Amino acid sequence: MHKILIVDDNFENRQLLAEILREVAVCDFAASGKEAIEAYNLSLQKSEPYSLILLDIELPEVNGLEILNKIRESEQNTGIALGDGIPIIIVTAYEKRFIEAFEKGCDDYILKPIDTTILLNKIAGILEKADDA
Amino acid sequence: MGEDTAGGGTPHIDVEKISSELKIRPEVYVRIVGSFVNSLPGKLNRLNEALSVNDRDQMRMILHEIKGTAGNLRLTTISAPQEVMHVAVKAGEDQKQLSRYFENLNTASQKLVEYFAKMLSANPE
Repeated sequence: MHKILIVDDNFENRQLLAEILREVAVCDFAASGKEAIEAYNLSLQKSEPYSLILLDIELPEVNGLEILNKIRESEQNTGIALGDGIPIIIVTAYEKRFIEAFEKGCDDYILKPIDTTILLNKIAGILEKADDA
Repeated sequence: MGEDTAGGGTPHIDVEKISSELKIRPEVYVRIVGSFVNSLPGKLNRLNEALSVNDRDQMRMILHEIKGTAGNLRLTTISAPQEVMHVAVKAGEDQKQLSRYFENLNTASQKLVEYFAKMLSANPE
């Protein structure tokens, strides 16, 4: 079973996403940018990296784009090229923001309100690639 | 969308339809909606406080919070008045006008809370 990190400050959104993904992955949660970075680092320390991160952009204090930046920087510092790092899907209510997110190295985006079919298709594509690698 | 306003703004949540659309278990959908509905009065209190001191950033943040969840859960009777107020805050409309939008949102919220309580008592399982 794949492991996915859901980063969203809203409890109900985290629960909803985990329920949608219940048949494809085990989900961990982070309610803030700080928790997200901690969970990401811990997964690497334990050599149990996430298959995917679902990252909300609008977070208090450290926003999703800053987290994305930090993860990609950390990957580059360890010799992982852009495109070879952990897949990250940005979750946003504003379509314009995904352009900025793409520039910072996200792999895909999903708009709120969540369309389950689109979300599951995007995730299936990413997880299939991970299985093939 | 599964929730609509029948009879002049009375919410109706079609649990089967929405949970099927979201591809989640109906009982889990009800549990998540319950959590959101229980949190609504607190969110609206915070919004009202922000409105009273004209703290636009705080208003935007709370409205964004409501928007994301209400939208994901297809609770349109909340997301519609939320959107009106959200747009008005971003557009810099005056406090008096925002208070009117807040009242609409507050009324919709109270109706949803009442509807959900009735729905649960009619279907306790």
